[in-house]
Amino acid sequence: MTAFLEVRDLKKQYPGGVRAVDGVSFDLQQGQTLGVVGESGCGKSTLARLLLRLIEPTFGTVRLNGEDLLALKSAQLRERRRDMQIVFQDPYASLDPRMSIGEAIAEPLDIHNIGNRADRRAQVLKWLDRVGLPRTAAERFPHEFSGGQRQRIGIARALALRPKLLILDEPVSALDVSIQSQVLNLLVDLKSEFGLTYIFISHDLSVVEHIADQVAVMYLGVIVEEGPSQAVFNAPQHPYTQALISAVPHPDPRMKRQRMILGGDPPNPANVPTGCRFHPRCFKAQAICASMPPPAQAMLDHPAWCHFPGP
Amino acid sequence: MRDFLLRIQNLCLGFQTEAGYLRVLDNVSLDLTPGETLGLVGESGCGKSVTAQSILRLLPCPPSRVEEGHIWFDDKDILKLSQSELQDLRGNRIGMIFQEPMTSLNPTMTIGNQLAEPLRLHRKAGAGEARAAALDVLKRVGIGNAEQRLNQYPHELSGGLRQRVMIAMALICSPQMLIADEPTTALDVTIQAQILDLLRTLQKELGISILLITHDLGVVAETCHRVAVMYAGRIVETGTAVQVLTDPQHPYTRGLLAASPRYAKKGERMPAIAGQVPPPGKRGQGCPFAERCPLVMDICATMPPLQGDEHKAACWATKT
Repeated sequence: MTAFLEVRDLKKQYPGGVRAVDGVSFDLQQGQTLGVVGESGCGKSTLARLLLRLIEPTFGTVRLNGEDLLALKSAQLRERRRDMQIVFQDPYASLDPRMSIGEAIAEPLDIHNIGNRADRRAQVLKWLDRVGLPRTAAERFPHEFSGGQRQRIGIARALALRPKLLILDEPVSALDVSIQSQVLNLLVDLKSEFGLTYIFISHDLSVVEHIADQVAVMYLGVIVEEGPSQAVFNAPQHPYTQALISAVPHPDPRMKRQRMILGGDPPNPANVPTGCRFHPRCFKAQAICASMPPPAQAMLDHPAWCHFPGP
Repeated sequence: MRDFLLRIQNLCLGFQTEAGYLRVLDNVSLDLTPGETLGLVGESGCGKSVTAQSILRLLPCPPSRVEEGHIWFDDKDILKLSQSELQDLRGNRIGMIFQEPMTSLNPTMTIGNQLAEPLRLHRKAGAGEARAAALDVLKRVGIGNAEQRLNQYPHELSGGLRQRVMIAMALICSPQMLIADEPTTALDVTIQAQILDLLRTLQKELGISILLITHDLGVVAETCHRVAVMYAGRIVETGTAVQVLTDPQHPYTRGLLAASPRYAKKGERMPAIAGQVPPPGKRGQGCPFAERCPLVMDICATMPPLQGDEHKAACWATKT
């Protein structure tokens, strides 16, 4: 069975030796949510943009339903983008301040010449209803809305073309927790209603744990651990995943737990360490880690790229 | 009777805007004892940062205006201090750490000069003395290669290091109190863990009082002795961290905890708090949470008082 989305050895290098994404491969089945987690500079947002060719990859393949996206000419690519849309973190920066909400939601329909004016108007109202905004919002402007409402607008705009794949780049990170849960619920509902496939990018592990079926943990341009969400969160095999999970503060002060505090700073993609990229910060590192990139080791049911995986 | 380092009493504060006067803090009272960490939590716009800034009188006046209330620090009312007395307070007796270290450090000054500045201003320290103190405080906040760092500029440091420099700067005059406004919000989670660990250690070693402002209940649980929860400009619940986080009395606190993705079951809907925080100017006479509250009753049209002994909540439905 071929996967709905098949990514192989995807790379993006910038001048100056910056390896932002450095060989990422994964498969995603239709209807699944892949959570991509990692810290600043790990390449997760670059990955999102590479998949849509908002940034051109340096190397690798991306196949959507078997079709090689990187081989498409620009007119074909534009057509294909109907199937794949993105929602950005900051809904204010990604909405045109001088365009009314109705125009913003209708814009993708205009670009793809879908329907006449009346159809588009009907679509706008339908999507406003669906994402939980009043119909009067169509005549108003982005500055009149709160962060949570703007993110609903961003979602409506992304879904107006009825894409199959939706990439969500930190969609709830700028929102307060009570609003965050409203938007997460909306995303879950929309996914089942429209049979969507999600790639959900976030630095927030608890949000990813809640929403993702599959998880990929990124560090410095590569995936270091990947697998079903429950397996990765309940039995993390890579020391980086373990440290990441243990670093999330838990809102129960009585919980005493073993905290792993990683030393050092997040590394620099312009200066990738030899061997395992994580070894300068790793508490398990041994001599081999500095010299040999680790192979994928399948522990339990999911792979981790580590010489010494396991608890 | 506990002795207080900081005591805010019934503070009401607002801003003059084009749309008229808007009250943003409504009857805020807080206590901080020596050596204690108090968490001030709430969502955007609840007034937590304004509260912090009012302690150091950092809000320009006008447009801001204190309608009533007192801010006692060491038996003096900060609201009545003269400019020169205020200067003695800021950075000297009360240190402050801001959320975004890049925008609060001066990009044109070396780390060494920035660290030395408060000492030279407040203590009239000479160059050699200031440099020695700067080295010492950099080591205390866990910065290696301190000698070399003194000559670097903020852009040469990572986010985590910049935040350590901010903390070092806030500590260099050995203040009695530290105000930390979302000190880890802009940082990655592994770096956040380092900084929280540092704050805990510093507090134990120096016995300093910390007012920690955050939106993250997890951060509160890991660092604070006591908590005050703010909503729409009011304190709605206060108590020890264990009391508030494990036995929340106010429906807003309960909602916030339940909405934390940590507690939500996989595949189930997240418990959300419907609606949004009412903006200043649209907060009526009653409980500001009433329109979003699952327990709302007729009496909620009247403002509930903050009641209880050590664990207090401002809710008619709660008997504490």
